[in-house]
Amino acid sequence: MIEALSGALHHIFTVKIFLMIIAGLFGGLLTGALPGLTATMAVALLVPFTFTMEPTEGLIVLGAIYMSSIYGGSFSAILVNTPGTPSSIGTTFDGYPMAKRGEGDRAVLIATFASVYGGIIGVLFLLFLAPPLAKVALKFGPPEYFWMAVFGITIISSLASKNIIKGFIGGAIGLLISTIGIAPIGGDVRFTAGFSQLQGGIELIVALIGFFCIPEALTMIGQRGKKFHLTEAKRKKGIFLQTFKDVMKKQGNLLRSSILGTIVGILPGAGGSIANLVAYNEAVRVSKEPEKFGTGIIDGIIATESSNNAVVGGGMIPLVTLGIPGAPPDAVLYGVLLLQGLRPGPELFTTHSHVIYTFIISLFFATIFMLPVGVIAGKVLHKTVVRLPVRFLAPLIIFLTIIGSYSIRNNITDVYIMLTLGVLGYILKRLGFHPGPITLGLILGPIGEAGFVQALLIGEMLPNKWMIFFKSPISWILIILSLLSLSWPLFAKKLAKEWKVKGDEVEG
Amino acid sequence: MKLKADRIFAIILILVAIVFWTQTKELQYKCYIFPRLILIMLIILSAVMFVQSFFKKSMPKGKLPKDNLKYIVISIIIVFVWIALINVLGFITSGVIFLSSLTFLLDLQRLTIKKVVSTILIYILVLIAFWIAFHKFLLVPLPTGHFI
Amino acid sequence: MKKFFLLLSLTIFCIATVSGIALAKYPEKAITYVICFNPGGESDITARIQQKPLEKVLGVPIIMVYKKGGGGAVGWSELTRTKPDGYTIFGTNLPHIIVQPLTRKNAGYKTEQIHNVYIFEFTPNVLAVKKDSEIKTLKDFVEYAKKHPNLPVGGSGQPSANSLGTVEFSKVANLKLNYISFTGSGAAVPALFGGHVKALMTYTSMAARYPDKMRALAVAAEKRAKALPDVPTFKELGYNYVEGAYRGAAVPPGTPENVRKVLEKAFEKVNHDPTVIKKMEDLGFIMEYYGEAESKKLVDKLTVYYRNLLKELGLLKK
Repeated sequence: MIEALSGALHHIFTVKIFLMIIAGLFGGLLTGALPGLTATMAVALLVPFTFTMEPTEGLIVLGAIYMSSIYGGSFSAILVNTPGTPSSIGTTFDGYPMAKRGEGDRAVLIATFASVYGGIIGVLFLLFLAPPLAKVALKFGPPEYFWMAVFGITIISSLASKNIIKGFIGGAIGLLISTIGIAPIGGDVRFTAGFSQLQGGIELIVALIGFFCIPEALTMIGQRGKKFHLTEAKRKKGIFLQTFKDVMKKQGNLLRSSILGTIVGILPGAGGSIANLVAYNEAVRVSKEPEKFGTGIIDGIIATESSNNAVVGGGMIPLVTLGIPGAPPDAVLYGVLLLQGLRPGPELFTTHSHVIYTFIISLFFATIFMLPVGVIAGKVLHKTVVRLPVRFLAPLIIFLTIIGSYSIRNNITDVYIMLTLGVLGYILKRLGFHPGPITLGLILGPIGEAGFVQALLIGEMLPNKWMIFFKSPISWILIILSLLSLSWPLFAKKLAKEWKVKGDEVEG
Repeated sequence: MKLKADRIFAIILILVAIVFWTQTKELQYKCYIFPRLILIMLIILSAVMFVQSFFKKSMPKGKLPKDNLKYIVISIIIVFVWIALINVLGFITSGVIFLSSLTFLLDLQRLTIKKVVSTILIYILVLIAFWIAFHKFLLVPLPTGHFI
Repeated sequence: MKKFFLLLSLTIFCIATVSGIALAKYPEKAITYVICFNPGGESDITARIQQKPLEKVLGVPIIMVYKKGGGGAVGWSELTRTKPDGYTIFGTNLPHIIVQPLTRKNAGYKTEQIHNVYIFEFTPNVLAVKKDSEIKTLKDFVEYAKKHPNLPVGGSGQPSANSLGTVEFSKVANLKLNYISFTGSGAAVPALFGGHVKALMTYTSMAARYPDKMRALAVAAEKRAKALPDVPTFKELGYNYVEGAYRGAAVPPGTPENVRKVLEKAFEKVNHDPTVIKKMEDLGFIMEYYGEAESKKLVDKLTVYYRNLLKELGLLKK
């Protein structure tokens, strides 16, 4: 391994490769920041360009694009309250309030540091612990996926602690929307009201753009007296170093979120969309001041952004060791590997070790380069959004939503769906239902349904088919986690009171 | 006011859930079991919200500032027309027309000829740049019509 | 009035000639190749193998576009609404384009509307277990399944070549298997490796992908697959069972004949390219060479077959 590593380092340190990484980073960052163009799309779009390159070079560029498009999603989350990719949903919760206060540049810096940190942790796991960790991917069968979805839904209790009933209704609405179209198991067509276009269901990204972006744009239009969207705070001196110190003080949060991200990344089919919310949830639960989450605090951004970039390394663990893609963009990378004649699996580490180690090492460097690239791009984007008058910003946001929802499946129907959901989302928001829980339901619906029905079918072998849900230790762990998560608000209120009492005493 | 809205919305949700339920009747077991679970959950939660709306005395006054609904409705209509015409007029043509009209809508009181012209010019440039970057360079398919 | 009709017909004639001339030069600009599944999936991989050689043969760029959803149905219903000028072609899959209109109330398209210009490969079903499983041969499997009724067998999609194939095989082998559908061939693999299902009714391409983790017991084809030379066919072992999925390329209904011919020839040529053949066969696909006319015959034959099968299973739409 050492030999392969030094060979890889030798391979990477050329000007050409470095330039390619930087170009890939910028490209990925912009695609990630545009709502609708996700990491999967960014990677798939650029696959043809890699055909003309050597296999290793192609992989290096794609890796850089993947890493930075996940990070780029945080820009739009922070600046316009719209996750650029599903991996940044949680970043809107604290990033946007921070930007509204005039601390947008600080929020972007926090996201940058956290993303680089998380990315590095993920890659380190990939480099050193891939084979043992890959086994986790196989431990998850249908019942475990079902319980994971249940656990995911219980996160709502900490996302929507102000009105839990409304939060769960939002989640149920999201779950229900996710069942539109072909049933994942069985193949019947459901709830399409006769529209053949709805067979494919409602694409997550389309719903995401609709529920987050359109209400935001409509609110801007509704408050048309306001000239600018965000207030621009006076730039403080030494903000870069100060923020760096602030972020690095949160080692517990950074490490916890990165490890969670890596683990979720390993699970096939889950990916950053789930990882960032799980990490956010855990950050809220561990925190001593959970009520401050959602008001624009540093911990929220750190949790989501470090975890989603850790997914990149994590998702590649089962890919390179077992040939099973972890997160969705990994499936595209898998296709590229196959086309280049490299079959992922153990032989990749033996016969093609130079390719794979070069790739991993380049991913490591790409993550580090993300720091300067991100700081520059973040500054420019932040300035643009802050200085662009609302009369231009709001129409341009709508324009981007149209392009974004169209280009996912090249389908004009998706644009109509996006806008309809957007209007619905605006009404729901006025009624006190927030987009977070709804999208959580949308993400988890397909995973939960497939797991649930598959488990029931497999369970037919048992005397009682429902017993299948309680057979494995992982199922029990997830059940206990769900119960804890669900009852957390009860504890939280109590704890908050206790802390408050203590705090008062100190003050008094 | 807020509570009344909750009450009405709870009833709407229950009705929607019932409509969905009737749609599950023709499906196989493995296709209806999961949606029905969700529907039960939705109905129970909505019922809880309905009941809650009677007991909760006062809700904290909505922090949301009042939006000017008239402009929101107009702009939603503009966007729907835009989408309908995007495959007829083409990406750039429709983009310039509707982006400009949205900008004008947001700036009705202060509109001058100079602003109108500059806005249109800016959008033409932005859209062409966008079109070249995406359509020509990245090969992202964009909606096309009789014009570009 | 007469004048008007004269003028009208003249106009139509002019347009027809002009477009005829324009079409004579086909292709003169980039062709969009629509994949109705996820990027990175098998339909994508086979099309990507063809992409560069096709560009060489046709002399224009080929742009890949993804319109996934509904097991391909979203893309194929789009096909019926696409301008039939030959600049948008669609990847197609059998039996999907036959089975979907037969089982769904509104699939959005009819099988006849999918005009295949070429069918280039066949991916047969394969019955596979984990490499370290105690089941070594098809005979072991049949015995095991007899002892364990309702044995879970995973596969991709429903109704699909995998799901219908499981039913057909249980019929000829007189077994009671419990088919567990996954949302793609790739998604079923971890379930097998993790021991959540005992066996997979999957495609040869999957068995070729995981040679050191998966043991293929038998291939549901007339002849053995090049990538799996040691795996017998079901027929060799005495089970009359052939099933799998075909892939082809199609154009919208109403596409002019000269355009169809150009595309047919191009795919034909690409399909004889040795590097394409090598790549495809290494990945577990079996080359097929159905031109336009032969493709139609194949679709017609399979339509009759699947209609009967679905009727027997009670899955035909009411």
